[in-house]
Amino acid sequence: MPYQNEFARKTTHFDFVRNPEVQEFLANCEYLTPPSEKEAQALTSVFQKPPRLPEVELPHLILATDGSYYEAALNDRIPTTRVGYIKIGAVLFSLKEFADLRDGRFVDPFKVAALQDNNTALTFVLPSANVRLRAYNSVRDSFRAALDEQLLSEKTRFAPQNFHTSLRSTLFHLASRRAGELGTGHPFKLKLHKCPTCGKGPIELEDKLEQQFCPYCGAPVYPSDCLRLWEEVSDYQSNGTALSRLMMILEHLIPIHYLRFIAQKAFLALTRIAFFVDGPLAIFGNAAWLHRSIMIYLHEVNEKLEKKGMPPVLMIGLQKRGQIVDYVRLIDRFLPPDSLFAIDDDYRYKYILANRKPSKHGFGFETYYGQDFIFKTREGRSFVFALPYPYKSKEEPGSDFIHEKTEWHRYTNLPVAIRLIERLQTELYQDAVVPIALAHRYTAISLQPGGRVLDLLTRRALA
Amino acid sequence: MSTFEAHLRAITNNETPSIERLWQITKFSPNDAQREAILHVNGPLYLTAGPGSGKTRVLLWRTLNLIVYHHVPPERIFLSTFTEKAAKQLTDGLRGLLGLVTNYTGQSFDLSGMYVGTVHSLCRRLLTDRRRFFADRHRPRPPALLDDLGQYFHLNSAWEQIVTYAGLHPADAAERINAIFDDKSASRHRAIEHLRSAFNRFSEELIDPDRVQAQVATLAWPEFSQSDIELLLELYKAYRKTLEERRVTDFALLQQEAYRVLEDFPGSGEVFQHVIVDEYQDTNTIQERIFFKLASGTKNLCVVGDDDQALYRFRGATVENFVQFPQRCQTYLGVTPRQIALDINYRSRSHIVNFYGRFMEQTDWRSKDGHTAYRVSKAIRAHRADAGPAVVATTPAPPEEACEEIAAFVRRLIDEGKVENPNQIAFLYPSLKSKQVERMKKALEAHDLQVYAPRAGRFLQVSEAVDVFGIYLLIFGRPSLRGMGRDVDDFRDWLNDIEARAEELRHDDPQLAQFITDRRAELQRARNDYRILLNVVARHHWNLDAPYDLSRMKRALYNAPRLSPVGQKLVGSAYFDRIVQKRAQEGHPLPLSYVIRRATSLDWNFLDLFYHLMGFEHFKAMFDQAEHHGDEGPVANLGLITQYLQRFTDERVSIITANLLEDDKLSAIFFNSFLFALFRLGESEWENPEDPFPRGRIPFLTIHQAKGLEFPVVVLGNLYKMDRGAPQMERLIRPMLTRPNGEPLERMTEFDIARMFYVALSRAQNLLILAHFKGKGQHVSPPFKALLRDPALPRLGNFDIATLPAAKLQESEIPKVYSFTADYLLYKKCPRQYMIFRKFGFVPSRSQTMFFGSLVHRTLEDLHHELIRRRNLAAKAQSQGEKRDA
Repeated sequence: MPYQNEFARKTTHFDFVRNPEVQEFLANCEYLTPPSEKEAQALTSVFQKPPRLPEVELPHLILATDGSYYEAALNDRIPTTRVGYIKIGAVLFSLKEFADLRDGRFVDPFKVAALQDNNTALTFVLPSANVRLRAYNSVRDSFRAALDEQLLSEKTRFAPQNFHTSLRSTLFHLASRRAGELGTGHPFKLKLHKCPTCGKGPIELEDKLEQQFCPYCGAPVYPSDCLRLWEEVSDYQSNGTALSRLMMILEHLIPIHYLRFIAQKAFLALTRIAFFVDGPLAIFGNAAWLHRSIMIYLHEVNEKLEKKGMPPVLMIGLQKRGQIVDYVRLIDRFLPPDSLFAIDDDYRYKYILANRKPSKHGFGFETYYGQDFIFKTREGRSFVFALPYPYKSKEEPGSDFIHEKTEWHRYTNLPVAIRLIERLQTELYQDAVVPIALAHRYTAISLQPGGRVLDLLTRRALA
Repeated sequence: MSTFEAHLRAITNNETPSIERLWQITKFSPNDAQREAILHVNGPLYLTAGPGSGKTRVLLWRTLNLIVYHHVPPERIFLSTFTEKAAKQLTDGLRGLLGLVTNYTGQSFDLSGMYVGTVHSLCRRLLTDRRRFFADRHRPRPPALLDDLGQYFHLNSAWEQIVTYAGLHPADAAERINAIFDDKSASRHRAIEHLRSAFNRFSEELIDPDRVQAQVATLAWPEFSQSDIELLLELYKAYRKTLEERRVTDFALLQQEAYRVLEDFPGSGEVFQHVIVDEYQDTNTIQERIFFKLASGTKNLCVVGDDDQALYRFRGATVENFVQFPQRCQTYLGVTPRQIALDINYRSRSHIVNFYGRFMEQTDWRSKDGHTAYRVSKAIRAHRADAGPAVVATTPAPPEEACEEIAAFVRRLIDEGKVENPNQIAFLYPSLKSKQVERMKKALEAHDLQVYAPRAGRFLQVSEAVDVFGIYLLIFGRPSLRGMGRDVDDFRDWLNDIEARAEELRHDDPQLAQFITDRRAELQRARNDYRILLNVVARHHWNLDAPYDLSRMKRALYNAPRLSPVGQKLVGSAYFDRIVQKRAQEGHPLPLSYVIRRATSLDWNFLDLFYHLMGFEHFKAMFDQAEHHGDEGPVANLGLITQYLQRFTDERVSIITANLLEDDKLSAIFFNSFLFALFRLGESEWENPEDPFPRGRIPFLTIHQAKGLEFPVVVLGNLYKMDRGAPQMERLIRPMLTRPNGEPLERMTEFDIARMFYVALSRAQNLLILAHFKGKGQHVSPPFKALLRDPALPRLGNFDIATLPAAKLQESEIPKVYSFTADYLLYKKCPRQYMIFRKFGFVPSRSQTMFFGSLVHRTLEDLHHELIRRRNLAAKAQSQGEKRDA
């Protein structure tokens, strides 16, 4: 930890890496390194021409979500007193209007943004270090109360007068689908594994406006406690981890929220919209259980679509950074244009995760709900994207999930996804697609001036 | 508006997908004619739709096109179908297709305001639609509607009044009326049936009895005398008068009333933007007038039908309405309709289509002078390319041999997997009450094949009816049945059968035996009390019709020697005293006779008794069986019994009172009058409208029953229907008509027989088998003769079964729609209640509901009084305390 106003020297790390102790340590480590020419030949041999259909009907609308968070200090003199902001952008635009803007091969996403004003952001303000809501004894309880209130608030509702249309109600829908004793099977009921105050459980809660209490200790409990973010909230330190986890959860919860209400209001409109999510289709941390519920929910919707002879929901997780993106950059020059690879576990463990020991149940058993693909377009841009697994569960009897999950033919939407990524690629950022770039633009809280404004806002509010 | 809300609107308020896109989604590829019909919007449309030509789909899509793409509000569409089942199918189908649009656009459609149903139901709705059809929005409540059975009972109950009004003596009126119709019987039942047909026809043809009476001398009936006609018209007037007096109406007069309302209401021709009529070939004169009247403003009248499938002349249908639609359109609307022929058959193999096309050509459909065609010319062609043999006749042989040949072949069809289930093979007959049917059944049974013939027998002969009514007979006693004739003998046999069966049930279940004994004791108690109370009345020389004087009479009645405790309780009821006093204060005192009847009444009625019986093991097992996915037939039949019992309690005896028990009066009303009428009318057993033919059995159907259906294999079990000339009713009505004459009387039946067989032939999808009987007394109807002589017609003996495509079981294309409240919530509340009341239409016993209603009412009242009493006591105590303090 630096002292205040002490900045790190930019050259320090050279010394660090050259340090013989570090060198010795690294000699005993396995980590991602650029492949040799020969290795690269072998690595890229698994890539094949992507599946293409003579006629692909692309969705009419694109909805992309992306999030950012920021922790603002209350006062320069008390930097340990902090408030957290999370901003989730949801960008909606029409592919047809986008096509009209095409000038040459690529499109400036901000011209697309200028087309309409359907881009907006949802903001969450949460107490972080050393800030409590009045009437609450701890940051943790304040965080829980504020989170629940904001998930339930009118700004998250599809019909403001109906609280059953809030983001929290979508959480109920997902939580009710949990397996085992924590599942309720009732869309207005969920179970907490334990009370955050007394630790006893499980506790069944309802989707209602009134405050609910632990039946064991009488302390207030909140439906959003099921996300178990409170376990990562500290009273005295930065709560960046909890904020980042919440941001990630919201990035996945919001597309499902949309999906749920589109399905309710105009079910087949789902066939005309593509959802872009930033990052892999996976949920990490204490709320990782959500990934199973999302799998179940998507499967239910897709089954209904299939009954109507329709393709499944097109949800694409696009990774801007992370281990696979790093890896792709290393091998990119070896990859032929117009090639695709569905990352299998063997490959991932061996090459991307640097020989990490494979998990018994397969990679991402507890976290992933989508399959990662590496795709290099005809134009030579590489993308790492994911499509939802076409399964209700990873343990479906009679299926060899670990191997089947990489079979292209199981992803009905794969040709459409590929076509769409090609259509939406932008040269503004490296390996970015327009929707994600747009969503990011709407949510990115840059240090200057956005972050500064938030700092001022916080100070004024708490002063 | 929240962000999410705004986004959701932006996502769902997409442009409506094109109709072509919807066709693509629903995998519907309309042919050119279908497309043209669907997209037609303005002006009259004349759709001639051959069998299996996708008529229902066209109607559905056309309606959708109007609603979605031409923004016609559903409440401005009038869609008339021939049956309620068809109406439901159309509504469900439309709901499904509109749901598809909603799924895309989020726009919802409300079909509740749309007029869709049979003409009768729509007329009924129209008569209560004050908002749209009555300028001042006020009109008296329309009369209650009598169905066929209700009309029969009305004629029966108003018999003396009607015949007396017409100048007949009740004793010989039936004989006189029957004589008009060449019927030598003196049976009132038969007379009522004759009158029912005549009256309905008069009403449907808008016959004004006064007009005809004035002209009767100038009109010519070769076989009816002037006095016969005058008598019938007098009876008709009397009948209508009794209907008016009792504030009831029948189906035919209901339509007249609706037509009158339309005539009186100035804007009636523009209330509906589109009038669509299905099965137009089966409409009658009054219906035609209604349709043209409704479309008189917009001229958007679309009729769909097939004159070759006109089957309902016996119900007053006039096929000319369809055949001459273009001319009528000119007459009534002043425009020529666009005519579109749906002539591609998607149902049958080409050999079948060609065969029935040739069959129709065997009849000369032109008038003698060749100027008039009685048939719309058409060229039906098969969509299926398969040209293999698909029509096959048995080897010409005596019926037993031919039936055996068919039965053996059917066995092979099933064994070799050409059908997945025996219910895919239908046997069709002009009538199920013929020897050929029995022969065929026996032949099939010899091959271990079970038959299902729902209309071959009477409902009262199904085992559930025998069981229930047998127990009723033991409880109420068997009335003496006078009279002679086949019907009476058959009914007597039936009474014997049900009595014997009930004895078996009583013997097998001691609890049921005790129940029967207890009910009989209750009836006896009521009977005794009644006599005892009448003795008191006689002793005091009271007049039964005089008002009940509480102070003078109650004690004497209450203290009557040997009056049962139940009787005492009823006479001594303070609650009843209050009613008596209230009625007296209001100036409507209750007569003594009423008080005695009330004091000797039972607290259960015929419907209650039914539900009591259902608790016994024998009946309970039927519900268990249905609930555990077994045979649902018994429960369905029990449901039908409740409907008949409700009719009896509503129209005949709602409360069982002791005066009716004297001389077996009640038993006579129930068995000899009510059930005997059902027995004679041949009401048939319950059929599941959604799954009409039980799996594992071969359906035997009349050709009329088979209309609108299709089967992979059809056996036409009898190729003969005797031509007895024009029906009597046609000969009666023809001179009275003011509309142009239709088909010539002397050829009418020839045409009708050809049409009937055409319907049978066109039901087959893969194979049509003709039973070619030969030998003494065996005939075939003329159009078959040349076809059977054709050496190219394959015979069953040489038929290569391998050439026959295997039939798959098909699910209905139109999904069933369930209601959230009426289906889902009820099922969630109690699956058995759902099964009983919703699925099988059991009628709940109202007296139980009323009992609980009055129990709650009384309890509340008692509580109220108790509270007042306590408050008074408290007030009294307080004032005494205050006095003491003072």
